[in-house]
Amino acid sequence: MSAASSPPLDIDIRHEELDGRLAETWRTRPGFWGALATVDHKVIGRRYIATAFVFLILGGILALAMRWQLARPEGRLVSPDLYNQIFTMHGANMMFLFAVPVMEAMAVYLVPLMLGTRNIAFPRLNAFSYWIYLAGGILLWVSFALNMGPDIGWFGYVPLSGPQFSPGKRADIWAQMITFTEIAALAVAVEIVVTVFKQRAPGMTLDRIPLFVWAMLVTSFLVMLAMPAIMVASTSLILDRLVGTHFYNPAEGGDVLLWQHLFWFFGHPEVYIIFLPATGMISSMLPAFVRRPVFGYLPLVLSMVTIGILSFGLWVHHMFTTGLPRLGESFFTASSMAIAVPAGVQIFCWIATIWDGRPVYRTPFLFILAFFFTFVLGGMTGVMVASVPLDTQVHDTYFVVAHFHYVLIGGAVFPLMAAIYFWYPKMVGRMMSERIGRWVAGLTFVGFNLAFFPMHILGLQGMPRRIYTYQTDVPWSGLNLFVSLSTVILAAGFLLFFIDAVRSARRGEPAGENPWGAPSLEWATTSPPPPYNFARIPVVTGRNPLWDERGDMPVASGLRVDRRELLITSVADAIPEARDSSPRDSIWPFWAAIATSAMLIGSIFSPWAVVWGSIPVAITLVGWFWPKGTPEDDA
Amino acid sequence: MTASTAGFATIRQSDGHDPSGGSAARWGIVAAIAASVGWLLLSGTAVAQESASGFSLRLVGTFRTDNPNAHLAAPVMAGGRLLLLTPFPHRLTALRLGPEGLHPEWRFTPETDRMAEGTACCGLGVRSPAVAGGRAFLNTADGRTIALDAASGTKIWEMRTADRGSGESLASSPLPVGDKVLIGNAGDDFGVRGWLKALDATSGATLWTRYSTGPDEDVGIGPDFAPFYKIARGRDLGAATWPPGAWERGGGSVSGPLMADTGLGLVFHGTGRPAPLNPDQRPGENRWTSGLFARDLATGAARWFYQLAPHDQHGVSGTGPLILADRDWKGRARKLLIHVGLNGHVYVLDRISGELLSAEAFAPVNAFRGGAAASGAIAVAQEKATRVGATTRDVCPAWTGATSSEGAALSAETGLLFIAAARLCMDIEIRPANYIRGTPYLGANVRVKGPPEGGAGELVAWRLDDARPAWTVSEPYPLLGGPLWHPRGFVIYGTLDGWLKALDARDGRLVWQQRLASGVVSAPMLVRGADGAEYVTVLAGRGGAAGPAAGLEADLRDATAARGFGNLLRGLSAEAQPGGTLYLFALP
Amino acid sequence: MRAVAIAGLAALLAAGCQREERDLRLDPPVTAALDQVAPMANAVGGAPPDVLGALGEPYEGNAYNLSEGKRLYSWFNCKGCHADGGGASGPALLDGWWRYGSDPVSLFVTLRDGRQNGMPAYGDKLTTEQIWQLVGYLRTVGVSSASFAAPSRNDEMQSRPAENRAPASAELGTPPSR
Repeated sequence: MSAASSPPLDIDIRHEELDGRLAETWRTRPGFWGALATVDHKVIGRRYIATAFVFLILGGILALAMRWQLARPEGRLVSPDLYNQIFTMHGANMMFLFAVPVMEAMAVYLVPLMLGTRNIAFPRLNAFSYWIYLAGGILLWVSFALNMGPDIGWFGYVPLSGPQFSPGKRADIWAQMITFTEIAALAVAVEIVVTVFKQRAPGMTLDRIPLFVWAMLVTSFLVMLAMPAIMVASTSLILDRLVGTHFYNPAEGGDVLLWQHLFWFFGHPEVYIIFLPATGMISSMLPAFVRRPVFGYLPLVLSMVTIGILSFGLWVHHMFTTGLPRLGESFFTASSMAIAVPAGVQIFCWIATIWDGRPVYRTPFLFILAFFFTFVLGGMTGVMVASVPLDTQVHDTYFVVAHFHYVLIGGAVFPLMAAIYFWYPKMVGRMMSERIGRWVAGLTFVGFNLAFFPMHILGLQGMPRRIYTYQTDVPWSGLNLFVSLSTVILAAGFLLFFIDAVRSARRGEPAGENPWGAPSLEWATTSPPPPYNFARIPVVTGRNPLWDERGDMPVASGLRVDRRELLITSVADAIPEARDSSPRDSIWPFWAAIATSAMLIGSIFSPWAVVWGSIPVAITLVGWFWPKGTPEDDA
Repeated sequence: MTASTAGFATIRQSDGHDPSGGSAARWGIVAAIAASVGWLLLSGTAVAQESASGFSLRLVGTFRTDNPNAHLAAPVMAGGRLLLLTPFPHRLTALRLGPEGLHPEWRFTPETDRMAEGTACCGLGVRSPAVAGGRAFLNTADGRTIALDAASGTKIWEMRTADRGSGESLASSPLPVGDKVLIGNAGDDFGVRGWLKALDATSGATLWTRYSTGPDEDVGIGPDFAPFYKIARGRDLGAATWPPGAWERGGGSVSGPLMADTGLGLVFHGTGRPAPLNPDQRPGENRWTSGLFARDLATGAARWFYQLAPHDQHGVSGTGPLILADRDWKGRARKLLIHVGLNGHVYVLDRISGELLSAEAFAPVNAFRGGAAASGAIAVAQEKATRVGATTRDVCPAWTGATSSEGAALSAETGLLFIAAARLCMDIEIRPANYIRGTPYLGANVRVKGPPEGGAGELVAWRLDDARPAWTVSEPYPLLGGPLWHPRGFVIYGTLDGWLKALDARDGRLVWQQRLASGVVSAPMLVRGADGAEYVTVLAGRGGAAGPAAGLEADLRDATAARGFGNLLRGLSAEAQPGGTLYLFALP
Repeated sequence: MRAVAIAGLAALLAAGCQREERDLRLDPPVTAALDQVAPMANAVGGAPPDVLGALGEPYEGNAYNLSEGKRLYSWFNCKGCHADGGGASGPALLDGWWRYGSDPVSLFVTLRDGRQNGMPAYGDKLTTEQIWQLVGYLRTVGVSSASFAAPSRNDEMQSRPAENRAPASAELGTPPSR
């Protein structure tokens, strides 16, 4: 607390001293404990992204193992039991530990910067979210190392995952891992919604919000509405297995289909949780590469909102072969096809943007072009499998595997790689290699299509999913060998990507503030940004602030520099309302995550763990919220 | 199902009149309190209770067997001696009875094959021996039929009649008639093939065997077969109404009572339920199981057949009590066969033609709808049908039966049929069954429970002519023994929780009761001693915590234990003295 | 501290490994050795064979084998005489009283050779490995404390709490009269 009668505001400080004073207030303490205790969204976001990519590598290795096993008939690389664990781990890891977390992580890093604020809302919750996510990932992979990896498919259908047919603790590990990752995702979703609604730069009305932020706002609502369904499902599965409840036991009044409904009510929005941020990234990157603002801002926003709402009405298309009434199935066919409309609107808006712009063929743009081709193909096979008769034929065959890899890799991974190339300079301060980037784009695009397109044919030829091998007398061996060899190309592309990412951290070309000439606010600060993001809060007058104000940007000032403070603005028009304090670094989120992990892992083995384990959790929460006597406490 | 206090039973009359007024009620309450304290203090000895009507039984003597299993065999008189057969491992004791009590005169202990304990489905008890022509014939649980000299106890012949290895045993009494002895096997739970055999009474040689399933010549369907219902006519129905080969392990055991009408030259018997209990493994009508046969006494050829439950889905079986009566029925004099069905209905048939005259429910039933189909059988209610993989809940009656095979007695003068009823329902889940010779062949998980309302047991006085109950007396536990009708107008029966009760037969009023050392699962018998006096014998010995449905070591924490009774009998109080006790009461 | 952590991790490794192993097919020499049990003269107890000891009693702590034992318990008609452990014409398995001995070798002999009071012999109906799986399962039924490897409830009608809830863990009642 300053000794002066009025607290030091940034207007009272001389310009040369401002950065130093802000850095002093906002910096992360150095050292091991400082790293554990940080609440800086950029540090946490980078950590999150790096961890997610580690999981991507691990999941990719599993994929290579599967392809090696399937390359020849009667493969002997892995036993059937290990193969079951591998495909389950591949799916669960990619969906729960990579795809959703990496999108959340990009949002954690970028959204506060794009909105012009100093930190994300609820920063300590943000730290907790990362530690819980890490604990869930460690739980899953350590159990895989201990031969306890789940083997029930990434969707864990009962009765296979139920107590009678899945002995041991494998299915419990899977169910509890879900709890970890759902807590992490829900936490980030809440933070993003609050940040987007209340912490925008003054003047950033709703129709001036960057499209990536819109995407993350819609995604966060999807997370909050869809994740509870799977938490209910996984919790009741654990109760069935551990305690002997009868949620999924038809003999005592339960229902097996209940699982599928609960899971897919989450599972379908889940894929839009993965896809929508990617569309936001595309919309936010395109202007820099076509040198004009994106075409159709309003249609793009409405499309994303529509996709978000419609995604809750599709889930039964995963259950077309379960014998549900035909009238209901027809409804879900219609809605599954209908969601192609807003997706198509987005594609046309982007095409119009490119058409009317002057393309710059840098690596991110190459990935965006790859996205167009791949995602549209995947969307078309999606409309095909939305039809019940066709789905009845290809359900549980490699056709579906091809479809969802096209939409996931095309629709999420390619935009993600574009995003990494695009925002890496901002995060690290150095450019990635353009030359290697072109090789990466080429190898992954070619390798992906060569590997996954034949799977459509394999599926139509009847090759089922999740088989660990096949006989010599079925006609699949040739295509399988082709697919497996092509995955080497895909893997080579990813390998180059990771090599480039690691090399460029030390030896990349230094990037300035705005190497791409992009219009959004994150490019208005240094690369990498200082701990406080912006010395003074920018004021926004249009959708593309850096293009609207060539030269000097208007700023808002009057925030304190002796404590962590940020500006709260109104929901619709972003009129400043208040100055709010932002919490300091704290080790308590880390301890709370440890306590929560202990409780959740214990409850895999005994229901009493919930009782006894909640005591340490309560203690850590008390420590978390106890006032520390810092200036931030006088909110 | 909790035990009511001290066994004071509620009494209902069908015309609504409440009889429990005045001194009888006061005495009844005193009796209840006294009895509940009294039996605790004076366990094993009598605490008799007089009533205003002055009826009471005076305990003259007791005899203890040291066999802890369920005693199903009420003793029989043979030349002044009471023959008492213990459950397996058997011992037959001849007791002289007199005013001083019971004295053993001779004992006969047959050889036992202890492996038979593994094939007895429903406890180790066997029904009473039969006496004819100075000989006593008994069946043993390990599949032997033995003939003894009734005076001295020396063995005349012993034949191994049932194949223990396939799961067959003998559970019912033999029927000596003329120069033959008729016996039927047991073992539906093990997928045996049911049969009725005739043995030569002198030598024990098998004269003929008639099966309950299979081709016509095995079953005895020949030119004399004239069933009343068309649906029973056809060739080799005993094989054609089964999947190929399934009839060889189709059940239909003849484990219920055998009744002979020597005037007509016919023997009547029921066939048990089809095996396995899982109905989806045996599509078809499953002839000739769960039905009633009339056979020629000399050759065993079938005369008529009535199927109580075609394609039996609930374990109905036809092994309930059979009573022959010559009465007026709807104005005509007819020869009747009364069958108290284990499915909770009283069937009245014409025993010459096999025509069904009446079938009405005496216990709560929801698995069957009223109204006879073209086959004559009562239709199955579709919502209580059972299928593999499904659990059907609250099916009444339970598969253990609405009564036991000796659970009824007819009073011809009053036209009342007294039934010791079990009012039970069940949850039944059908599972796939594997046939392994010598092991149970069931395919169902069953939990037995009490009815939606009322007690689990009931003594029913059934008015035969009206096919309605005249009065009923409720009991907290199922009645697994049988009633005794005394011509002086009293009904005497024992309960599972160890009460011996006497009711006034006109209105069901409790006139006397006494606590016994154990529960009763057989019927009291009226015998005449050497002094010409009348005595009532009651055999107590219910065989452990779960009664006759289980061996001695049942753990009732499992709801499916003891054929599903585990669920129902958890509140049953412990026996005052385990083991069998034969009581001899003198009538006033 | 490091040593403790390593020891703890090794223990966890061993425990996790053993419970979750799924051996779908035993080697024939191992099967043959598992059949060589040596019961004492009165057929109660007996020395376990060396092979069983070396394998670390996999049928006790291995979840897959215990669940196979539970499946075999239904499939081979044990429920017809023993219900779901509560007993019917056969004695109860749930109450913790074992007529012929509760140790694995006694149970193995009981199942393989039958017993004289009515227990049929299953040696000609089950393989040696399947009998050992049943032995392992039976030893989770009448226990006083549950192991993590014990099976949970089947997707069937509920008769009693599942084996992993230690349904028999109430105190032992009076022993049966014979």
